[in-house]
Amino acid sequence: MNIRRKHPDLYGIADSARKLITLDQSLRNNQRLLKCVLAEEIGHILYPPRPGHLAFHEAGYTYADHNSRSNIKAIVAQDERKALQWATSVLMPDVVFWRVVRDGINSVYDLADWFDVEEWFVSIKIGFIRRQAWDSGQKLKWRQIIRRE
Amino acid sequence: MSELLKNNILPNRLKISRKKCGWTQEWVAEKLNISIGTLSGYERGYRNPNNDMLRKLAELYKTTTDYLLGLTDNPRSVDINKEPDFDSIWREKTLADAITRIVNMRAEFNLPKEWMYQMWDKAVEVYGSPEGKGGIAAHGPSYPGSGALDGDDEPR
Repeated sequence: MNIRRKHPDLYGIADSARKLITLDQSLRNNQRLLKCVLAEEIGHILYPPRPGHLAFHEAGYTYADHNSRSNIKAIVAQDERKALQWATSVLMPDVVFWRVVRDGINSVYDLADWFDVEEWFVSIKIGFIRRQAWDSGQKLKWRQIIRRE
Repeated sequence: MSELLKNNILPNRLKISRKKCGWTQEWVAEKLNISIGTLSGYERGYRNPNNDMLRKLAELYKTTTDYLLGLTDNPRSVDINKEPDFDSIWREKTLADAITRIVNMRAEFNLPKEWMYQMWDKAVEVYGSPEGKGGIAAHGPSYPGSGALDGDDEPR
């Protein structure tokens, strides 16, 4: 489907009620991006987003008043976090991630190549590792996990 | 120099275990009552910890001496012949968690892809698919899921 004809800013839509994922046809030309977006959308099916989420991505959203924007943004952030955490844990399992880092593959670029995912996806994974450490009272810096390019 | 040090297994695993815990060399050295230079020597392969020190390091990093010495690749493994705990899949609370557990188990024990696909099917049967309440998620180009790590509680 050509989603971007109707919604120029979208790559994928996950409809949790209908269990339907729609991806933009442009992803056919980018397997890595397709893989990451699809995993994330499956995450949204497993952790259904709450009403209001889609509004964040709609054209008129920027005209909403500040309070509405803040509320929607918070909902979106929580929904996205669950879906993305799941997606990264499936495409980059912890046990493999640490094994690979230990073996010396320790830059975002190399990790993206190794796992065959987009670089932003690796960055998100690192973000979650840091977040988990943060939640358990540890401040884990990027350089303590991997080398930043 | 021992094979362990030559192959860098022990130094690398000491370093990665400390990093996974998020601790500095200073903190660990103080905890173990050794100098930073000694710990740095262990991690760079210039020094070899004795058995007692190796045990203390394993305890501190909540791992095993087998892992540090390269006898197993599982940091939490106690037995190098450990079998996968298949029942743990069904102790997970949600379908999403069960799928994650299956993926990690496959990676950890080099299980075949076919096994993973069968387990996924079984997980859907056991847990059912989650009830969506009408919410729809959508994502833009180049950075799907933007905002996931936003918020005051984000690590700086």
